[in-house]
Amino acid sequence: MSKAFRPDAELQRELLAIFAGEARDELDTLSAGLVALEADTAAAVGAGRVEEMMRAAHSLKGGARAIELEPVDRISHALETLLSGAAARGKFDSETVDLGYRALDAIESLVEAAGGGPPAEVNVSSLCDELAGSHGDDKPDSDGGAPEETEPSTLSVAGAQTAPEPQKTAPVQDSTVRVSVAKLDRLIGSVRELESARVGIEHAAQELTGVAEAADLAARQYDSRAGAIRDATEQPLARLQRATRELSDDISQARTVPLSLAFDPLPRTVRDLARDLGREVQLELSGGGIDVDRAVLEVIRPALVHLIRNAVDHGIEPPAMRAAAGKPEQGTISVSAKARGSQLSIEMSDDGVGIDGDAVKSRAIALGLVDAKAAATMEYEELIRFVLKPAFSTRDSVSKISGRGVGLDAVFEGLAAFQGSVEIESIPGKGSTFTLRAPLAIAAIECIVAQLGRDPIGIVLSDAVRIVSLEDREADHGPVQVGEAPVPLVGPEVLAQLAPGGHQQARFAIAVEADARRIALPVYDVLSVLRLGTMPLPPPLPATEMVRSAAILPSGEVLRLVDARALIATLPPAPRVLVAEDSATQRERARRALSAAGYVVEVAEDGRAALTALLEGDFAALLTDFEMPQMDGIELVTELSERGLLDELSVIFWSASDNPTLPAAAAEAGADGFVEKGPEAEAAVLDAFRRLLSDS
Amino acid sequence: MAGDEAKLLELLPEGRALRQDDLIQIVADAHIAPLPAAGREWAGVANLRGNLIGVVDLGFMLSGAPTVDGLLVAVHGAGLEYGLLCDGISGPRDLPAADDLPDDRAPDDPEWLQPAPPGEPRVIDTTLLLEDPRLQATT
Repeated sequence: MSKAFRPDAELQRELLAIFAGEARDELDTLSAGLVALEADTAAAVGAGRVEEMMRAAHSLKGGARAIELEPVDRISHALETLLSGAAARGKFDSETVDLGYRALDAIESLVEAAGGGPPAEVNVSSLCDELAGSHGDDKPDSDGGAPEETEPSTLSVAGAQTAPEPQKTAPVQDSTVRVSVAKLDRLIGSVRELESARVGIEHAAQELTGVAEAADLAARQYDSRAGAIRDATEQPLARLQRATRELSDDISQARTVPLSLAFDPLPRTVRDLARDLGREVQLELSGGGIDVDRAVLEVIRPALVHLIRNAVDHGIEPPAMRAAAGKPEQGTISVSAKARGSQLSIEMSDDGVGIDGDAVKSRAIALGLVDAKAAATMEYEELIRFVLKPAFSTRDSVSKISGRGVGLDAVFEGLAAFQGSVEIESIPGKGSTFTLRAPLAIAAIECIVAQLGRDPIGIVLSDAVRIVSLEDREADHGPVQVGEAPVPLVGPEVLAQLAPGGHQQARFAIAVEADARRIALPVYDVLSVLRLGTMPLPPPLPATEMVRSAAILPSGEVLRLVDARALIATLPPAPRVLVAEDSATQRERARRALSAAGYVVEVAEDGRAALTALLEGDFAALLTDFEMPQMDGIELVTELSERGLLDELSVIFWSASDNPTLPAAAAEAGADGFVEKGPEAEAAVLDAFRRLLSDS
Repeated sequence: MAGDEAKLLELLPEGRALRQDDLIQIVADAHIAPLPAAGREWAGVANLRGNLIGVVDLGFMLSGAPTVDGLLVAVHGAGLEYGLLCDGISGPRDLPAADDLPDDRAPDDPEWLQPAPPGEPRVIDTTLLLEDPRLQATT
């Protein structure tokens, strides 16, 4: 008799990892099937959903048996019984569907527990009894009486993505093999090593060419020897280049998965939450056919689940409230993905209540993210970005749905590690849109490699504005001049984070820009610009704000990529500017230009309103027109001067008048500058404020 | 508490060991890029065969003193690959099976250091180690 096959611990671990991936796919199939059956039983049955689900449950059972995961084996078997019984009756009532979901949840938690996750709290025998006992035709109603009325809760599934046609027939022979993500990761790691080595050899070959040229000038005999070495390296190097690029492309391709895998959990999530919260929600999905790198999917998938939970919990109103507001009782959440070039863009919109700006403001103040004075002047668009801050929640108490205050910041962190982003738009009463942007694949990006302390640091080239020399500077502190504008230097606390062993005297500064603001990072040397594959910092390493991702240099060293937004975040709050202008068009043009440049802007329609605002608020600068109702610009500035307020306030006048005496009149009143209105006026105002406010 | 026979890799300073099953690679001359904002328990991030791994400063975890010029030992635990920075390794050894191991840990000993028979090194549980709250801190 042959000895039973017993995998060793290592093999068992690998098998379990493979099964976990397989189980996730099958659970997604089952979950999508249950949603479809609940929404329209006849259509789902007609489309072969039940057969597809039976196959998935059967595969789960077989897989679980192969790795001796008995509880999953038993529940999968009982689930098959439940499905076949319901199919025979032609009836998938809510009790059956709920039971099905409970089975899926139990399997998911058991698989997670087997893989080292938290222990699963599942009463397997009891659940199997319920699953198996639910299929009989003679099964009585729960209390033997009339069927219990259930809370109205609707999940309408619209769009092909939520209810894809199942495969009618399984392929006889599949030309694909299942490769574990861990193996793919190891392969891609090996490719990176090859790429690093290739870049290293390329650099060496370039140096060799340089040596050969130098030698040519110095002595012909050296040239012939160096030339022979160069010739000997050229051909194998070209082969290595081609092979590594092809290998890299193939492995990258092998890592791509359809975005629909990130959509799979959404219908179930919406269905469950809508039921729990008494909402009616229609979910529309599109763009699931786009292929993305698995690493990107791993970030997008939980991000979408989180946003959907937020949308149902915080966004969509109860049906009665919606009806009272003149909206359809059923809310709509749409998730739409598009690929533009190498970028993935996913818009998640809801037609709910929108983000409560006052609640966000109160919470931001309570968390110490902003002081009350500054918050009072912030625009709604600016305020709502606080929801991306760690530990932020506008709920007074923690709700089990989405009030834990964790998640949105994690969404942001996860995307930022791939140079992605999150944008928020919201209209109170109308709804919110979150736009997630991420690369479709983990492409190599150009990075500036610089030396600050012992270890190299990197800046993504597209974040950099300019590299300036510090060697001719008289002072070793204060802002550096970047073009016409002074740019502040990164503070010593940040430098200590990036170079904990101390740093050498800076010789250059790399100016970076984000959110329309600039800051310069002093470095000892700028070593090179390289195209490198960047990776998020790996778990379990906790995320840090200043460094979210890294790359591997040709030398094998790790290059930490400094986050430009995090550097900008170390700057003091943006200066507040008041625009006093009676022309609505000019006022709006100025407001937009100054806001885009990072200033906090308020506006006043006349001199009197401007004076009131200036007396109440803490402004750094004033842009004022001459001619205004109530009080003109000169009267306004004269009044400010008499009250002793001009010392702390930079004032620029602007005018469309061709009166040549105006600049002198402005200066006499105490203004710091004059700008002629015209196509270049906003740029001139910005230049003036940059100069004046950095001096102060 | 019963202990199974196991192949170990003893670390320096003596008295600590890893199960060889948990070992991926010993990386000589590893470059570890520091990430002080992640907490002093993290030595930084390193390159393991083209992939990044977080590196735990084992010396700091055990004694509060950072490891200087240490050796990087790559391990897996909790389904993840990561590194341990230690003073060095003293070599392989066997851990004999023991029927009853007294749980002789001091109250402030971390849970990830397993009880050991007298005279044997304590084995680091590479999964439990990642649950140490000191490694969870973020900035």
